[in-house]
Amino acid sequence: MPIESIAPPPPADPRRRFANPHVQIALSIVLSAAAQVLLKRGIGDDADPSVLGFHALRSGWVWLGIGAMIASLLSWLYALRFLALSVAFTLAGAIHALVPVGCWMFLGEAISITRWLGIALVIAGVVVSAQPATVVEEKL
Amino acid sequence: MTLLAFLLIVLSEGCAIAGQIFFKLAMRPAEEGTRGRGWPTLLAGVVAMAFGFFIWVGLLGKYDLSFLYPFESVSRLALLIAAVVFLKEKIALRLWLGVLLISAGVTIVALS
Repeated sequence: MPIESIAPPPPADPRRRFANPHVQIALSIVLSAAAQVLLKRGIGDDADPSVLGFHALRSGWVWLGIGAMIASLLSWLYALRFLALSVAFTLAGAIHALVPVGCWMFLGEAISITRWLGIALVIAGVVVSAQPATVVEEKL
Repeated sequence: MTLLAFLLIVLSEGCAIAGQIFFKLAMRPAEEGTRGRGWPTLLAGVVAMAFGFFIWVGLLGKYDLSFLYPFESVSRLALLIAAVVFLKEKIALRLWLGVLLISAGVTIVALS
């Protein structure tokens, strides 16, 4: 029996779609990417960075980021009840496409052609990884 | 990059991987085994994650996110190996391929 074969709730009913582990993984990824952008915004170009980042707790952006991270963690833990860690974590690789795009949109960081290529590779990797999970779900 | 920075990066990623293993152990359904299932393991995961997180925040303040990124791609492969060793997960060939694509993409993003 494959590890990811624990039956997730059926996604047909829109009210129950929220309970689908893949929906929760997607939510977790978006929240986690938002958290990274918020943290970077809050920490910014600190003039006096310490090795451990406790000084950053003075920034409101950092607290928003921590809030997004906690919400992301709850979605993640829920999804882990149904999915293998290796599958869930690899799908969460989408965060490496979302974070640069988020930095481009919200922090005004430039994205070169090469970087877009890297983002495209990350998305391709997530799509390839999503296949086994999808196939297993269809068999249920 | 100093040796201290490198060790902090490895420590941060190691904590994150340990945290994920603890999370999965804590959350898995009873029919997959009960060893380590429940709140104490979840708490251990939160502690490991928090420790890794504060080191990461400190590193973010000192280095560019783009510099720290390639280490994330190395830790993706390390997590899959950890899932095989500690959780006995079977990894489909497509998943390995997917992780390699993601790691390559992350490294290109970081170096561009």
